[in-house]
Amino acid sequence: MDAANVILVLVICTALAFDFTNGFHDTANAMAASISTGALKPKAAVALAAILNLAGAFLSVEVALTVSNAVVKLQDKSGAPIPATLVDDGKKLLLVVLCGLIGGIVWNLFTWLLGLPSSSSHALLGGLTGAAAAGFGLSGVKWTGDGTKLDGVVGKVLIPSFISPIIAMVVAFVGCWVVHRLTNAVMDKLSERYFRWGQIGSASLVSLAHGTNDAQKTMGVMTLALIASGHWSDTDSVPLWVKVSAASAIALGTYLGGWRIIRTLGKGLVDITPRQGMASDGSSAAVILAASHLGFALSTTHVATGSVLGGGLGRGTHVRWNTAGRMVIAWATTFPLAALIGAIMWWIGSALGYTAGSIVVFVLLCAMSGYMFMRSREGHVGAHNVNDDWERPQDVLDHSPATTTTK
Amino acid sequence: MRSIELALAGGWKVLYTGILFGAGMPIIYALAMRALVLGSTTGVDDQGKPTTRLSPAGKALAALLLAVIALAVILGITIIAASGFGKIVVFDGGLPSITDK
Repeated sequence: MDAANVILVLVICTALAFDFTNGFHDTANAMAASISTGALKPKAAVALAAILNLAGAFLSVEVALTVSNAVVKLQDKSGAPIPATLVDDGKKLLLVVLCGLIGGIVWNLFTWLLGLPSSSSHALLGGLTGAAAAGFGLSGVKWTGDGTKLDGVVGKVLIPSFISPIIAMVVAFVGCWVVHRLTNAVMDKLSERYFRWGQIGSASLVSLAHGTNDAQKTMGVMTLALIASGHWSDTDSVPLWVKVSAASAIALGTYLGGWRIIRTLGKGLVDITPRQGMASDGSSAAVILAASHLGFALSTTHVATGSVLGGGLGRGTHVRWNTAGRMVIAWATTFPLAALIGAIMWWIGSALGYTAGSIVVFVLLCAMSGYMFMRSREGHVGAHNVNDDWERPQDVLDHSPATTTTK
Repeated sequence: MRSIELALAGGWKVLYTGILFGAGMPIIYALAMRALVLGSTTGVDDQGKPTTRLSPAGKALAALLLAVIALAVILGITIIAASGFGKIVVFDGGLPSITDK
């Protein structure tokens, strides 16, 4: 196998690994509220989310080849790499993509270890931007759009991360407040469980939308690598195996469930009741669909978090603002720190030459991932204890059976 | 500054569409649940547990409201599926139809 093929294989493996972390990082967005209210059993919820993500990934035939174009100038409008990037038979671009993906994965795993829902898309875009800026210079970074539409780091990443949680919070607040006003008087005749169906329905829509959007991004990155290395030339379609493997990776990741994040979103911010959960999930589904329909880039994670907060405020329940504050810090740092990791990987990789460099950064990725996985085993969070009371984290840390499970 | 103007314009549209559907559908669902118990009678069963007997009119009204939600869900799935095929759902005079992006 020649050098270019070695790097290509590493890029494909890393892209699928990113897709996998994308899946388990984002399970919480759709399912945290349903798991927390007991509308769905934890395992059933992740299975449903996985199936819908898989379906969503196949539902979309449009090629998201230009995913990185929002923030960095690596490709032209059709999705083909611009000539300036095709240095050394495409090996330079392949190494940039590899380092960018590593930035995204490491950040996803780190925030998962901390149990913080951060945007997987921003991690990917951040990693790619950092690696591209290190490899091709800062001039390749697109900071703002041309004035006709929202674009660039500011328009597609920075501004939406401020606006989208606020929109979701307002929508969920209104929904939850009115739902409670309408039903409080008759709750002696109605069971809260009547509202679980509404919740499962809207959570399912969120999962489906996630599959159509996020799996495409990995497919786009994999196809870009194949084009850069000369293994593919059609910018209007992706190879079938790319589609099948990316769809499977995101579904598998979703099924594994990022329990730490599910726990934070479902239990850590506010306590969620079925009526409130229905309002929150309804808000997430509507805001995500409306935004994608109107071409307004936003992160599913920010919307889901805003919705959970808004629902809690609408019901007038206690909000753990310190948890919310940690999330906001994670959001603000996702893009720049994933970019920094991507850039560092590039500096290490390029100093060692393409082949050795790509192998070394890949080994570094495995080492960092392994370390974070080992750390996660201390204080393991899984389907068995995801719904334990938030205020008693020692139950989780002690590995002791849950004594105060909230039903 | 131009980016902020564009973001506010786009964000505003997302907000009101979000409130229309994202708050509207849960509210209709809540209305359906309220309708369900309209005219219902409560009693006590053999074991002494409280029971609720629903009225046919309440059930019918609830079903009607749930049908509105079902339509909205179908619209949602259509928007997801259409965007996957490079199409977009447009609303001509209120009725949705699918066209090329």
